[in-house]
Amino acid sequence: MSRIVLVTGGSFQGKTKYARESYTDFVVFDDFEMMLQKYIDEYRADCDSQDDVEQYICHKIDELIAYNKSCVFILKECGCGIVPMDKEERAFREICGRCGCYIAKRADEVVRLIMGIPQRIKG
Amino acid sequence: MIITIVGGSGSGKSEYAQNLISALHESEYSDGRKIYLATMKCYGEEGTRRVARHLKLRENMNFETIEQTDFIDDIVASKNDVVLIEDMSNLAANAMFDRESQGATATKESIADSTNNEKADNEQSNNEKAAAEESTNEVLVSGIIEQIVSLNKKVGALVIVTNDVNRDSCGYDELTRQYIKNIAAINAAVFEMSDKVYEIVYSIGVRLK
Repeated sequence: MSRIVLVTGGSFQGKTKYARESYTDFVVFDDFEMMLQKYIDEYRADCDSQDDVEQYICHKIDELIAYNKSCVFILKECGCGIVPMDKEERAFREICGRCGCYIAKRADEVVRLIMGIPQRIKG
Repeated sequence: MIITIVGGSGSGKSEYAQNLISALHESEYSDGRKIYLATMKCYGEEGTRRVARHLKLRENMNFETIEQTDFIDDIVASKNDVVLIEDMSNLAANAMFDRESQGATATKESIADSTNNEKADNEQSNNEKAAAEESTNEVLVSGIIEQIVSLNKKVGALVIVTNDVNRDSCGYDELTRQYIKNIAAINAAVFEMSDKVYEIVYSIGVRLK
């Protein structure tokens, strides 16, 4: 049976170590925020609307889930700071938030790492 | 009763808060109003987009929207009503940066005055200025907390949306650091008086209290 997992948390909290040790036979998408940036960049060529970008990325996430049996998304918990001065940065953390919510909705399990300690918040 | 929702940007805290207050309204306060207290001052295209997004999110939810960017306890409400405050960090920013623009004028005047004085006097005035700024921020924080206490006495239930702004880079200017410090103080006081506190992580509610 295929399972979808989201591992989140702040920077350097032990997300990768936890995911690699706990989900050995899963496909792991590490640093998924980098993938989000890649999707944003490839989409920006056509259109600039943030809602459209979000929709496009959610569609990409659906594809990843459909092609892979069981997978773990490792996504940094963004947005817990001051709203950045830079427009692109502001847009990125909002897109990261919305797409993170989408993965969390699709996920069977969501685990958040705090100083190396896993906190299971879904599933 | 106070329920507080905290989370980062784009974490889904608004949606969570709206669902929570709607359930509360239906179950215990169906005779009263369901008030959406909007505190954000809308600037530019992004502000408009943000408001439009929130409007769409609460479309058909029968909220009565009241725009009040400061002194939120001035709104007319009763013990039958439930109020959603969206959000605390905008409320604090409005109070702080409005006061800041007034403060900037005062600073210019004090600089003009100080050029006529001896250097020793100048240093003393700087110390006094720092002390005055500290007490201004204390007054601001306690003022906002008082607004919440007073509004809570008027209404049936209060759901407060606030931001987690304390968990990233520390390379900020003094004014931003002061803002972060003020928000932290307000959040701590609000959490203290809340009956329930939820942290929202990518749309999932984690109960903190």
